[in-house]
Amino acid sequence: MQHDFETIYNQYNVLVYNVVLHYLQNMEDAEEITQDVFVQVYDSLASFNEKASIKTWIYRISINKSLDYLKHKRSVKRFFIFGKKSENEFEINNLSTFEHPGVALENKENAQILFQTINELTENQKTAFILSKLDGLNNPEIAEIMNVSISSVESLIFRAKASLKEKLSTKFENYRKK
Amino acid sequence: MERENFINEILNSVEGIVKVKPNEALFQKIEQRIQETTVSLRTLWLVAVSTAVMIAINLFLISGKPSSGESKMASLEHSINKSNQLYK
Repeated sequence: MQHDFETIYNQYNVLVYNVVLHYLQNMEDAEEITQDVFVQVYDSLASFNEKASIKTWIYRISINKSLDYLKHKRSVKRFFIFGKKSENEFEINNLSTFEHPGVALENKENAQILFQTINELTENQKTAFILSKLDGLNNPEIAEIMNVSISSVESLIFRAKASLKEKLSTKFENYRKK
Repeated sequence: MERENFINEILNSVEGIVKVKPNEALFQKIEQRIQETTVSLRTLWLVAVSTAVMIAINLFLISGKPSSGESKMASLEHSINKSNQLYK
């Protein structure tokens, strides 16, 4: 089992770390949650029923752990800024100043705006967009991971892009004012 | 036009994004956490088993005592009744 686990780690550590990093947009948090993901993989490996592929299973664990962590972090933030700004969803969600180390230098500033805007999408739109645009998965793969139909994935990605365009259009006004 | 360029530049800014490798010491950290979890589970089991044994011993002692106590009390009452008969 130890040998199996090490093989799985070697095969999927980059995948897990990058998925988690795209959600959390923080290197230290991503490392912590990557640890959580592999601890769960280790604990559940014996009971893994192979209905889904191991890759899909690991993707699901990574996404669920990331979303749980974000919810926890958001509730803590909400607690700390309770009162004056607690109802301001934008402020709660949009505190990211993340610079992805894998983005080309000339695109870093624009990518930072994109990551901020991704955080304003709904959970499902965000997942579909991240898996499609950042992880480069095709729609059938995303459908299997999200456990939805391919047409639902197409719709989610379409709505995610439309929503991003709308939000970026608003940001353009602020950008032009500067 | 300017607006569209701005939006497209941002949407395309992650084109060709390179995968990032995690810290090389990450696997050791994970192994350490797995061992810690296993040890703490073992400790938890040991505590649970010793508590159960303690409870079992206590129950055994408690359930044993009343019967002997009761019989002693009964013989005492009997002897008192015999020696201290107020009305004959």
